[in-house]
Order: sequence, then structure tokens, then C-alpha cells
Amino acid sequence: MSGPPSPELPALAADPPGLRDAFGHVLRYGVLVSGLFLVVGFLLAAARGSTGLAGSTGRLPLDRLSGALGAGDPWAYLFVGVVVLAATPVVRVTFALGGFAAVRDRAYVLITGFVLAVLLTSLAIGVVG
Amino acid sequence: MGFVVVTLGGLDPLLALLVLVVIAFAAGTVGAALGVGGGLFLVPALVLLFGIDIHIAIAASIVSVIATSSAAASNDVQSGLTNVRLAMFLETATALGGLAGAIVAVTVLANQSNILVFAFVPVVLIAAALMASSRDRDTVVDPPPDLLARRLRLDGEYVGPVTGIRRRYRVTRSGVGLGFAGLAGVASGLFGIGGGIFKVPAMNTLMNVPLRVATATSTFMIGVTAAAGALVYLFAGDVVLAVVAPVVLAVFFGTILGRRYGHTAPVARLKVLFVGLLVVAAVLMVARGVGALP
Repeated sequence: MSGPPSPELPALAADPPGLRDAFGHVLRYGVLVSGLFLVVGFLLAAARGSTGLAGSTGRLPLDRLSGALGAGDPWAYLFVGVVVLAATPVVRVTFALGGFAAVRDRAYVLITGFVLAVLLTSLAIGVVG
Repeated sequence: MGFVVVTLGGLDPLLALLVLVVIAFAAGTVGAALGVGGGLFLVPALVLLFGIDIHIAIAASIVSVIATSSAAASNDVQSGLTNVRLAMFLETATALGGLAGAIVAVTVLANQSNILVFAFVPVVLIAAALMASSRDRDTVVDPPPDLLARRLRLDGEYVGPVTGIRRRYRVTRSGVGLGFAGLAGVASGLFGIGGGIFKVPAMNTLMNVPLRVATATSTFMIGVTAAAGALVYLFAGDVVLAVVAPVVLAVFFGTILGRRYGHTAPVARLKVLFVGLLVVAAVLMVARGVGALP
């Protein structure tokens, strides 16, 4: 902009190579896949009515999920859509952990590892509780 | 069509669903145009108009926040505007706060919907005040030194949208910022909002982050924050699919519209509308809480 940069400023840290593109792809595909399941579930619900496995609540027995998907249960599709959406940030943080680990950035491996641990705790509380 | 479970007065159920979709779409559009999520409108609308329990409204909102974040963040993160390191650093506090807030909401406050309705009121009013007073504060060249920010190399640079000039900014007060991020996280988990309305001013005013970078970084972060809360709500059974599915899809498409045409929107007027609606929502929620409304 004007004049040379002041000399005492340290060089800007570079992000791990490819990490930003990986983030972009994870977010885009996560939303796309989730949106597809939600739209299909919505259309199935409109066509068939709501007499499915889960009724109107968000809890679905995981062991019966694939069967319900095969049977075209709208709630199963909506449930998977929501789960994919909620899992997208978890995948994104996992990619970040991998990216910082690959460049041996110990501070950010700790930081992203902590965030991932919080998300997995949240998942564990949800599944168990 | 047996899908509809939302009701609105004596309206035909299909019409009620349509109103729900329109409101969620508008929340997404206005939210994206102003750089905040739609949760602040969505939760009061679901509670006040449709009589939905606030836990279910919050769960629907928090899931839609993830959709907003994922849909809106990808371009800015790839173009380099988002400060990824700052996001990861602050996410430690927002995710922990989001998890804690959600746990409190589904355990201690599981049968205390009225307390949640009341507690939402000051959040809405603070958000209205922040929006009314918001401005783009210019960064300073020589902010107070911050050892932690330097150690974590949080500084960044961005290209001015109009000037096309690359500008560097130095991040400061990272500890205080982390505290604000934690509070925003708790608000996200407790009330189903993204929390950008709190994080963006904190990053811009306290941490010396340019407004555009702060907004992009906040949008990127709220997906993780909301996921920490949403996973708890999801398995607590508060994510009612018949409410969540239409809301998420409508907010998602509203966000796309708001991001595409947001720069042409009359932002000053939208702000007035935003603040006005929030104040109305606060008053109505108090009335509902004291039993003056059905």
C-alpha cells in the first residue's frame, strides 16, 4: 500500500497446503448430500404420509436405519439428512487435524485435537445419554 | 399429506407449513444479507406463532445454523478471506461453550421451557443493541502486543474488495476474544443461535480483525459451534424432523439468496427491520412467559 512493511513484523504463517480447498469441498459436499436426503425425505413424506418408523421425533434406531431407507421411509431419509449435516463440521475438524499434523504444527494439532474431542464428546453424550 | 405437524391458529395445516417455510426462508435471507444467522428470528417465530416448545424450536434452529455455515463458508475459506488459525483457536471455546449450553438445556432446563423463553429475551435485546450500534471499525497498525496471538501466529492479511489492495492485520487481545467466543458458544448451545452477532463485534472491536474477515471467520466457525450443540439435541429427541426438515431447507435456500443478492440489499433499512423485529419478539416472549399470551 505505502512504503515497505515494518521490519519487526514476523512472516505470516502459511496454512497447511491444500487445507482450505479440503475445507471447501467438505462443506460443499456435506451440504449437497444432506440436502439431497432432506429433499428426497420431504418428497417421500408428501407422497406417502407420515406413517413411518420414527413418527415425528428425531430418534431412529440405528440398526433399523438401512432397512427403513430401503423401504423408502421418509423419516429415515430426513434423519440421515440431519445427521450428515451435523457430521459435516466433525469431518471438517478431522481434516484440519490431519492438515496440521502433516506439517508438524504441534500447537494447532493440540488445538484442533481439543475441538475434535469436544465434538466427539457431544456425539458420545448424545448416543449414550 | 400426513406430514404436517405444525399448526397455526385455525389455518389449514398445509398453509401453516407454507407460513413456516416462508418465515424460515426470510430468516435465512435477511440473516445472510446482514452477515448473521437466522436463529434469532426463527426461535421466537416458532415459539410465538406456532406454539412449538422452545426446546424443539432451538433444536430446529441449531441444525439450520449448521446448514447456513456450511453453505456460506466454503467460498470465503477457499478465497483466503477466512482466518483459519483464528477460527480453530476460537473454536476451542465456542465448541466447549456450545456443548455445555446444550447439555444444560436438555438436562437442567429440560422441563423448564418458561425459563428458557425468559432467558432468550435479554439475548434478543443485546443482539438488537449490537446490531443497532454495529459499524465497520478500521483496524489499527500497531495494536497492543499479544504474546499468545504471536505465538499462535494469528495475524493475517486480506484483499480489500473495492481497492484490491492486500492489507495485513495484527490480531490482539486473543485471551479476551477467547472469553467472548466461549460466551457466544454457550448462547449457541442454549438458544440455538449461531452466535455471530456476538463474535463478529468482539473480533472486530477488540481483536483488531477487519469486519469482512471477522464475518467470514465467524460464519466458518458457527458450523462447529452449532454441531457441538446439535448432536446433543439430536439424540435427546428434540430434533423433530417434521419441523427441522422444512426449516433447514428453507433457511438454506434463503441463505443462498441472501448471499447472492445481499450486497444489493438496502442494509441500513434491513438493520432497522432486524432491530424492530427483535424488539417485538422480546416483548411478545415476555408476554408469553408471564401468561398474557396463549
